Amino acid sequence: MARYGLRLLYGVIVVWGAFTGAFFLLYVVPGDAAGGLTAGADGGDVKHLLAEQRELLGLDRPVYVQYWDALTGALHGDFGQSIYQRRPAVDVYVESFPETLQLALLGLLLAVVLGVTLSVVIELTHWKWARELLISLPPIAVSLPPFLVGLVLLQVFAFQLHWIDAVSDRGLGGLLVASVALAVAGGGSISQLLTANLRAALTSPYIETARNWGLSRFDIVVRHALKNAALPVVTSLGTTVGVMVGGTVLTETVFSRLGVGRLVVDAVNGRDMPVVLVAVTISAVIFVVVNLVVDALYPLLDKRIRWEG
Amino acid sequence: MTTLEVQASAPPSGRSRALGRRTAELLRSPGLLASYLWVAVILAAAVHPGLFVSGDPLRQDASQMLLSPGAGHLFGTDDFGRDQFTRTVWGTRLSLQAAVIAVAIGLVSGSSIGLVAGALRGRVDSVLMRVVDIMLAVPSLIVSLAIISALGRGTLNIAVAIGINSTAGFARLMRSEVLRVSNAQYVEASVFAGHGYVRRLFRHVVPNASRSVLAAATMDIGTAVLTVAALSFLGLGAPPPTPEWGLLVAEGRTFIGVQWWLSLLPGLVIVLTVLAVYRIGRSFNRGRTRVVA
Repeated sequence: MARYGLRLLYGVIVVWGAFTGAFFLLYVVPGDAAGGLTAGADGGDVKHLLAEQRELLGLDRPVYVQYWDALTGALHGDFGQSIYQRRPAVDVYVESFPETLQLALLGLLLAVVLGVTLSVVIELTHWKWARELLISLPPIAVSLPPFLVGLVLLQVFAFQLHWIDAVSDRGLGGLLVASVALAVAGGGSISQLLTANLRAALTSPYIETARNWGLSRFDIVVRHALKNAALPVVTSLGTTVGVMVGGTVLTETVFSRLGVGRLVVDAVNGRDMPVVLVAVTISAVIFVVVNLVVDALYPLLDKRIRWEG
Repeated sequence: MTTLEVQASAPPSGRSRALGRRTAELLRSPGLLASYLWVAVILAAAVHPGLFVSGDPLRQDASQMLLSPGAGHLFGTDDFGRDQFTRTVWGTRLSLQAAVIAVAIGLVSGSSIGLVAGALRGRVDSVLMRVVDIMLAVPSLIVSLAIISALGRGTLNIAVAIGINSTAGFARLMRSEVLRVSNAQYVEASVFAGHGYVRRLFRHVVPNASRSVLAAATMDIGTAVLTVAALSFLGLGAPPPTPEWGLLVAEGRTFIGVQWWLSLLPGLVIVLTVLAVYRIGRSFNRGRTRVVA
């Protein structure tokens, strides 16, 4: 347990580091939000306007004061006002979060289901040519750009079959198609890893024993080998979630969905620092939590691993 | 002393035998052979687009707007009457350049950090690895977006952002390889042979640790091609008339309902390139279990 506490501490450091890194990266950006807000202003007035806006936004203060304010504010859940929407950045983020969360969760679920099913089917397939064909699928899946998969699905489901609206479909169909676009790459990488692990697991002595007991191939693969082969896949879920967050940005752009991905692209383009800070910090929190959960799951999956020493 | 010398030198490389095995593998696997051929074609297109197309990728022709793929226009024409195949071929240079620069940045900076961490260990190692953890903790696309907003839009800036992003991964891999190799017998033998620390590091540890790092770098070129295309697709790369793979897909997006080929054919070129690079990377990586996420 003591070791788990240490991991928790590391997690806090990681989140702090992400917050700090993003703050300074955005601070050294040449030209700040004040510049963006005054972009439309006419000739002589610009300098004056710029200084006024800067004072208003507190951008004229020394950097360490700004940083300290931002950090203590963040600890109280206050990341400041969104510069463009003129309301708390956290509110802006939280509003678009459910849209992205359901997309990401459904995408992750589909990726796991598709990946695991494909790997098991590969192991159960006897025909050599069918097996070769199936084995070639995961490497293809990881080579497909998410935005391209999205465009193909959009073409087929919106323009050929007319099952969904091409622009911002709010229904279940739209969500499902978008999550498939998101799941393809993740499913491919899960399947790649799992297929390799399954093959290794199937050569171990305990599988030989199971075979000698006369268990069916399905029982051997699904009941016995899969459990051991799944362990590294669970570890990789942490990275898969990170990939998903990036994937949602592209998927939301293709399907014109207004989620966190779109929000972040707009915020970075407009240098809306508070919103970017919220996004980076919450992404880091999600990453840390997912990895802590994975660590906690480990002993449950493999009884030999315990949290000691 | 002489026996020790023999042991202390790097393990027999058997370069000629490895080369023979490589050729045999190549001939046995049509997929790998096709991958090498495709990469050769892509490289040729990047260096000398004129080999494949004679036209100008920027030339507009109002009488040739939105034509379907056919004999004269392999990938059809876009809404300005520009030949999409010509644009795809000319786009190769920028896309490939960006991917290679990105990997070079990540490889050099990441390996240096990993080498320092793995060689010095102790406090330096733990501080560096915590920094690496932090870099890995934030989704790379968000980091890229922030870096690009700092540097401004452009394909080169995309490459820099991706390079900075991949630094952490290379640092981690290099460190673990340095630690692994440092414990190998031939390195221990070098200690007993009385070789100095620096010589041991650069003659034995670095060359042996580099192998899997370079294999990973090959795979990463594929990933970088994907990410460059993704960021260009979001409109963060070169401005519109420039031919670039991701941008071509984005420009064709408006016509996805009817003239779907405008997006999907350049997209297919991206997919084939990534597939080929991954296939080649995997052949370097045989026997290891690194999987690209």
